Amino acid sequence: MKCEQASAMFEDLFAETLGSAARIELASHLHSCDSCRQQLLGLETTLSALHQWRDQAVPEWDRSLGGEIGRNAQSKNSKQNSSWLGLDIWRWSPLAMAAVLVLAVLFNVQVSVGRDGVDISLGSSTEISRLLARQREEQREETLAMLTAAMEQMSASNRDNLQQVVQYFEQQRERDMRMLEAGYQQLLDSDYQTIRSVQQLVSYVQNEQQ
Amino acid sequence: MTATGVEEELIAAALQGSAAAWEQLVRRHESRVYNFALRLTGNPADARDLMQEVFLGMFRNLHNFRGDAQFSSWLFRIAHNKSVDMKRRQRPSLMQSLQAGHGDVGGFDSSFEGALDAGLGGREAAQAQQPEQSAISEQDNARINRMLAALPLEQRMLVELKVYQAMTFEDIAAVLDIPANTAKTRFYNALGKLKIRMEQDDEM
Repeated sequence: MKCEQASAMFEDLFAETLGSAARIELASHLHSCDSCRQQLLGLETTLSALHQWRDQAVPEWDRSLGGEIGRNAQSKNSKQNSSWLGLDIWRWSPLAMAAVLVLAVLFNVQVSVGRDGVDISLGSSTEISRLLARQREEQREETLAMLTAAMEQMSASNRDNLQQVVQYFEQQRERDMRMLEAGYQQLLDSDYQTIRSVQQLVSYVQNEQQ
Repeated sequence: MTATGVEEELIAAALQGSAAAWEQLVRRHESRVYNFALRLTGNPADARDLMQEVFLGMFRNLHNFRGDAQFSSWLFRIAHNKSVDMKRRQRPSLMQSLQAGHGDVGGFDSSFEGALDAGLGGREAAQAQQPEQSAISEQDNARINRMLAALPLEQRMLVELKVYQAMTFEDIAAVLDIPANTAKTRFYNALGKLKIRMEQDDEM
C-alpha cells in the first residue's frame, strides 16, 4: 500500500466507515511507515484536544426575548378566553359571517324593522327580475335622451345656421304654448267640476232644510 | 435527544402560549447553544447575542417543527443560519482589512483571535481568584478557540456538529444541506488544518 492510499483511508477511519479488511490492510502499512503513523497520531491528538473543551456556564439573559414570549402568551390566552361553548370564536367567526352573506345573496333575504320588531323575509327571484328590468329600462331611456341632446348640440354648432336655431326655438315656444293652453283648459275643467260639486252640495243642503 | 415525551409536551405547551413551558424548553438547550456560540464567535458578548438570535429563531419557527427530525438537528439548523447571518454582518470593509494588514477579509475569522485575546485579558484579574481547575479549563478553551479560528465558517460548523454535537454525517448533511460524503471529506480536511494549527500553536 502506498502512503496516498493510506491517507485516503484515514478519511473513512475518522468517519467510522472503514471496513474490517481495510483496517487490517491499513494497520499493516502503518506498522512499516513511520510518516503515516505520525500523521495518524497527529490527527488523533488534534481530535483529543478538541474534546478538551469545558462547557462554560450560561450567563443570565432575558429568556422572554425582550418580552415577546409574554406578549405572545397574553395574546393566546385572550383568544382562549373568547371561546364560547367550546368553539373558538376568533377562528370560526369569519367563516360564519361569510356563510350568512352567501345565504343572504342566494335567498334574497329581506330584513326590515317595523313597529312589530324585526321582520325577515325571503324574497322571490321574480321580484328581483322585475326591479332589474325597470332599472334597465330607465337607464336605457336616460342614455338615449343624453345621446340625442349631445347630437343636437353638435348638429347645431356644425350647421352654424342661426335661422335654424331660431326656428327651433320658435317651435319649442309653440309647443310650450300648446302645453300651457292644454294645462289651462284642464284647470278650467277642474274648476268647473268643483263649482258643480259646490252647487250640488248647496242644493242638497237646501233640500234637507226643507 | 429526540422530540418525544417531556420535550414534545413542552413544545406543545409553548405553542399554546405557555411562557413557563417556553422557559423550560430554553433551559434544556441553552448550554449547548451558548457553548456552540462561544466556540464560533470566541467571545462571551457575541456568543450571548448569537444565542439570543438562535432562540428567537426557534420561537418564531417552533410551529414549523414537525417532530419527524431530531429537535437538536432542527435547532442547529437555525443556529447555522444565524451564524452565517452574523458572519455576514461582521464582515469588515476591504479598506478596513487592508488597514489591518490582512489579506483575509473574513472578519468573523480574522477578528476572532483579537476578540478572544481581549476577552481573556479582561478576565485575568478574575482568574487569579478562581480555582486552579477553572483556569485550566479556560486555557484549554482558549487554545481550542485559537485552533478553530483557522477554519472558515462552513468547516467550523462541521467540526462543531461532529465533535461537539456528536451528530452522524447523515444528520450533518441534513443540517448543512450538503451530501453526506461531502460532509465526511470536509471534516477530514478540517481536521488536517486543525492539526497544522495546533502544531504551530505548540511551537510558539
